[in-house]
Amino acid sequence: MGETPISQKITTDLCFHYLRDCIGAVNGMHIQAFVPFEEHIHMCNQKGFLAQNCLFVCDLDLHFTYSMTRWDGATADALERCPYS
Amino acid sequence: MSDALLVPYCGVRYHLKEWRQANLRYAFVSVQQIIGNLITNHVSPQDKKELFNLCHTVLQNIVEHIFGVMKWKWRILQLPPEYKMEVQACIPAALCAIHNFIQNLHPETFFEPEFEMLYLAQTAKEDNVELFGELREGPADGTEW
Repeated sequence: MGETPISQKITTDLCFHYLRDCIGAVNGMHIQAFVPFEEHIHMCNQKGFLAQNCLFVCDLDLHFTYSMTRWDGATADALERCPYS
Repeated sequence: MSDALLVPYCGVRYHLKEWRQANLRYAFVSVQQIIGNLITNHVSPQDKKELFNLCHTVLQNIVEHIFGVMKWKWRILQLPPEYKMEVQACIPAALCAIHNFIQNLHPETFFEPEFEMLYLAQTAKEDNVELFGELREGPADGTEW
């Protein structure tokens, strides 16, 4: 009831038996942003360009299931992924 | 961090590239395969942690792959658009929705042969991110349960 379906790739492949409850993969991406000069110090990331830090979750059939955008480029990834921040 | 997040074992190697060559993604392999890997000097996962890390990486590559597809397909993600920040924050989410829509209706769009080749060439050039290729092909030949 209201449960997220598990991908066929996981359920049919014995290789992933111990990951059988996995519903997706999470990762962050820095997307180039255009910001006014005052905000440059917040938006400059560790790679040296102005960016917004975005977090995405996709399921194993290459569909996006979650997206979180508009984090400052200078934000650490761990802070972004922390549920209590 | 969170009990809903599966992370790989820390301090344990996961050499996806070498293990893919060795075709040892599975826990049970045939004797011929082990002998073949000994001859060709391929490294295989040595314990359960390494095997777990290998499976974890194979799944994690899906999200790397989808990011590559997104950045390749929509150039607006590569050059900063001169909109207000609120609008810019909506762009990736909107593109995700369009991606899902296309994926549902016509998934071949993202898997054209020439697109795959361009994507492979670009990724290999940029960094050593391992590519998502195994999952769609199923078990390799000669694998026995």
